[in-house]
Amino acid sequence: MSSASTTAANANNGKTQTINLEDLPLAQLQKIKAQLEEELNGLTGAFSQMKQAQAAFRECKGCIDALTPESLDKTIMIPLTNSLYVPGKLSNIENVVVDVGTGYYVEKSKDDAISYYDAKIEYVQNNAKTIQDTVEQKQASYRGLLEIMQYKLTQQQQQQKQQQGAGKQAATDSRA
Amino acid sequence: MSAEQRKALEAQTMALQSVQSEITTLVGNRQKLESQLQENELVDKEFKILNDSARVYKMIGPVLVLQEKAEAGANVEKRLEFIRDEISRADQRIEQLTKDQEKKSVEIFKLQMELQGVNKV
Repeated sequence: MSSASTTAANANNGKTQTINLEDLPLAQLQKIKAQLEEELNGLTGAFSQMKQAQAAFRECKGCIDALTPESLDKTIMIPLTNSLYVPGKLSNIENVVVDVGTGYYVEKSKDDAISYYDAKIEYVQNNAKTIQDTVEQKQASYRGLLEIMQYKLTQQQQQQKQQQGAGKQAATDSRA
Repeated sequence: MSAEQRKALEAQTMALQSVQSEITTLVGNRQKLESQLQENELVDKEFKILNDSARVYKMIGPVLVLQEKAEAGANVEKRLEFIRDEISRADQRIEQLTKDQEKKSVEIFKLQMELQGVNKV
């Protein structure tokens, strides 16, 4: 069996310690397994959020692209509430107002807005890639951990069988 | 004797649990602060590369209100400072509590050893 000395991250203070997983008792290994599972779930959740954000930004870009010179003065439906719309006319096809975060909105030209969204899409893409890499790392650690746990479990079972066998032997000896 | 020890052990264990749950809450708060910090930093960057003619709106309730770019920029920077202070305070508190937690675990361990020692005898 390959000696798997895996880096187990100490979640409390973020320091990474290199622990030889083979040396740890089964109980500790189970704790680490639970911790890894939780981390993996969190990371996959974050990853899908990144993907959703990307899709949202792409959609925004698509909407801006729909603002062609032909759409000037076209009738559009403006939502007042989720179920109430009023008809309006598209008067300005040059500028858009973009949500930049924390409740602030900035008026930008179409081109500026498109480059803004492009930058955002790239930013989110990079984050998603980092998350993906971390997930792959943790999955590898997880698989190694499972192997070691399996090995220890079979070891434990063998030991128990031996002890039982020895116990029976002692019992039969004492009766004889 | 051992009943007293048992009570002391229980008290310490409960104290440890409350410290631990406080730490968890604080860490959660700190993470929220961290994400707020990042969001505000993005807005700050955006304002810096904005030319002065561009119009900035702030969402107050359901209304977009026109703001001075300088005012909005200053606002965001003040917020950033505030968040950074909050984060460093939370970090200090977390460090304190972690040390406290460690001390309590050591004490609990000692009490458990004593208890076991008494029982074995």
